Amino acid sequence: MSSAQRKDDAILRAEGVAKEYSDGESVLRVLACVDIDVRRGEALAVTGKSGTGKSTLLHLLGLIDSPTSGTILFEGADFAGASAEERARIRNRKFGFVFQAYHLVAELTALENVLLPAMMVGVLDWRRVASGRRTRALSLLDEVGLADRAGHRPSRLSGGERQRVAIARALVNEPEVLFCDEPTGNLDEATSEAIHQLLGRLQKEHGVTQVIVTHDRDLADQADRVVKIEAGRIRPQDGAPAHARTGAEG
Amino acid sequence: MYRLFIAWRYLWSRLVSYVGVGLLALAVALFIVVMAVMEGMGEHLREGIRRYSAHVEVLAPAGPGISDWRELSETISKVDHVTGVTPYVAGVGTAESPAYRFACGVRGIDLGVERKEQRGLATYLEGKTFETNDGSGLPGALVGNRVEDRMDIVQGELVRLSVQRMDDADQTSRANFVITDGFKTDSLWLDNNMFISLEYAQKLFGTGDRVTGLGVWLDDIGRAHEVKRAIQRTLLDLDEEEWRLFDLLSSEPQSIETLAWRARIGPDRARELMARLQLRGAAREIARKPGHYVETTEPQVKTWAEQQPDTFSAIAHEAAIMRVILVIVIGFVSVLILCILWLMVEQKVRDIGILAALGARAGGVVSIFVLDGLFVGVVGTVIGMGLGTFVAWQVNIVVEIVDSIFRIDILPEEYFYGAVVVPHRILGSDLVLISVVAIACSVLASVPAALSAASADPIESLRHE
Repeated sequence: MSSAQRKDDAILRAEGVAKEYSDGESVLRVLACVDIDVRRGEALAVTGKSGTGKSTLLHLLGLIDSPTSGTILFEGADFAGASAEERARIRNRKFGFVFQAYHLVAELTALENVLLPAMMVGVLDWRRVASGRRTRALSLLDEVGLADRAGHRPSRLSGGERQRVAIARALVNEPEVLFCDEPTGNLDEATSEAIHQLLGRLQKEHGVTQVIVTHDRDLADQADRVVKIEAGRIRPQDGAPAHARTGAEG
Repeated sequence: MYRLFIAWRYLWSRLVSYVGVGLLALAVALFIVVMAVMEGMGEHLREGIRRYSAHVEVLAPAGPGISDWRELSETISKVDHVTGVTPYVAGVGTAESPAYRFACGVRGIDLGVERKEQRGLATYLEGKTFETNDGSGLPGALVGNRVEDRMDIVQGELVRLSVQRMDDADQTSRANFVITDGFKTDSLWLDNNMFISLEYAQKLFGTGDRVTGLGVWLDDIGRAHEVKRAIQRTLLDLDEEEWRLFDLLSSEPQSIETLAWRARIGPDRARELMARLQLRGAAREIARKPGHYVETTEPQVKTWAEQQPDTFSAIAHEAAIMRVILVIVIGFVSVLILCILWLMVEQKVRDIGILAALGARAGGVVSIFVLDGLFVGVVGTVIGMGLGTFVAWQVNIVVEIVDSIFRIDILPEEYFYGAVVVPHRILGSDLVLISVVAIACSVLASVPAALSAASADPIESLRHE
C-alpha cells in the first residue's frame, strides 16, 4: 500500500504532535513532533520503554489530553483545539478505553460498569434506549465470558475478569476506535493470553480499530502494525506489519 | 441519568455518608422538637394570659383614677362586641399575718359583676363572698393560693393590709381584713393577689369614688384591637375628619406636615384639626420637637396583648433566637457534610478520571457531587422531620423519662398556667424553614467538593492508583 493510500485510510491521525509539561521553572518534553496514522479497522501496537511517551500518545489520540502543538485528526476533523465538551462527546460515542488498572467503578456491578458509557449518552427517551443498551451490555458480557458475573461488584472479580468487564464497557457504545493502555500489564501469563485472544477476536468480529500501548511482545505480535517510541519520537523504521517487525520491546 | 445513578451509589457506599445524614437528621429533629415545645409553651402562656386578662382595658391616667366610670362603663358596654365591663381598683400592698409579711397584688372588685362578666375568674369566684359572719364587723378578703401558702393563713384569720395611697403617694393606708375564702387558679400572677370589695379598695387606696381601670370583655377576643379603636373614638367623641387624623397619628409621632400629607389635607386644616384634638386630650405636641405630635388618649385604652408587651416580646424574641441558634447548628452540620463530600472526592480521584475518559463533562462531575449533597440534605431532612415530629408528639413521654432518671420536675405546674403536660405546637412555617435551610446548606456544602472534583486533571486521576 502506498503512503498516499495509507493516509486516505486513516481514521485517526497525529501531525507534528508535541506534548510538554511545565512546572513553571522547567519544561519536560514528553513527545516531540510525532506523526502517526491509524487506519480504519487495523490493530496498531505502540511499544517502547517506560517513560518514552506511549501513554501520553494514547491520551492525545484518545482526546483525553490536548497536545502542546500539532493536530489530532479524527475522521478528517481536527480535535486538537476542540472544546472539552466536544472532545468528551467524541470520547463517549466514538472511542472506547481499556486501562492497565481496569478502572472499574467499585460501587457498580459488572453490568452497571458496562452500561456506564451508554448512560452518558444524552437521550430523552432513556427507557427505550436503556432497554437496548442493557441487552447489548449483557450480550457483551456474554461475549467476554462473564454473563454469569453480571451482578458482581469488581471486588468479587479476578484481575482477568475485571479487564474483560473493562473491554465490554469500552465496546458498549460501538466505538470506532478502541484504546488499550497496557491491557495485560497487571495480569499473569495465562490471563494475558486470554485477553490477547479476546482482543483479536473482537477486532475480527466487530472490526473495531485498535490502538494498543503495550510492553507485551505477544500482544504486539498480534497487531497489524507496530510503532515504537523512543525519547518521545516514533522510530523511523517502525510502522511495518508486525510479522516483519524486528524492534518491538518485550 | 448516570449522574443520579453514580451519586446515589457513591453516597451509600460509605459509612461516613450515613453519619452525615444521621447528624443532619438529628439537627433537623432537634429544631422541630425545640421549636414545637417553645411554640406550645408560648401559646399556652398567651392562652393563660388571655383567659384571665380583660380583652381590652381602660386605664386611668396617673393620679386618683377614673371618676365617671359608671357612665363610661355604660357608654363602653354599647360598643359592638362588648359583652361586659368590670370596674376595679388595683395596686400593690403588703399583707401581714402574726407570723409573716408578704408583698402581693391587691384588687378591689365587684364580685357580682365579676361573676357575671369575667369568664376565666368566674369559675374560681363561684360561691365566694366578702361577707364575714364572725361579728367583728371587719371587711372580708379572698386570698390567692400563693399568698395563702406563703403567709400560712387559713380562712377566718386576720390579715393586715398596707398600701400606698393613690391620692397622696406619701401616705400609707392600713386596714384589717378577715380571710373569707381562698382561691387557686392556674395563673401564678392571679394567685399572688388578694381580692377585696371595690368599696373597701377605694377607701384603702384613697381613690374616693374613682376606679383605676375598667376591664372590657368581648364576644370575640380577635376583635380586641378593633374594639379598642371604637372605644377610643367614643370616648374622645371625634368626628370623621378628626378621627382620621387621630388614627394616622396612632402609629407613631409625626410632624404636622406629614400628617397633612397622609390625610391628604392642607397643613392649615391639619393644624386646625390638631388644635381640636389637643383640646380633647387626644393629642399633644412633643415639647422638644415643636410641630410634631403624638397621640395621647385619656384614659388609655389597651388590648390584652398591649398589656403584656414584655411577655409577648420575650416569647417572640426567645423563639427567634432559638431559631437562629438551631440554624447555626445545621450550619455546623453542613460543614461536616462538606468534609464528608471532600473526603469522597479525594477517594474518588481515580473514578473522576475514568468518568472523564468515558465522556463525562466537567458539569456532569460537578452534578454528581452536588447531587450527593442534595441527597444527604433531602434524606437527612425527611428522616429528621419524621423523627422530630414523632418526638414532639410524644414529648411528654420523653419528659417523664428525664424526670424519672434525673429526679427533677422539668415542668412545675404552677409556672405554666396549670400545664400538666408539655404543650407543643409544630408550625408549618418552621417545617418549611428547616427543610429549606437544611437542604440548601447541604447543597451549598457540596459545591466546593464538586468544584474540586471538576477541576481534577483526568490524566493525573488515571495515573492515581
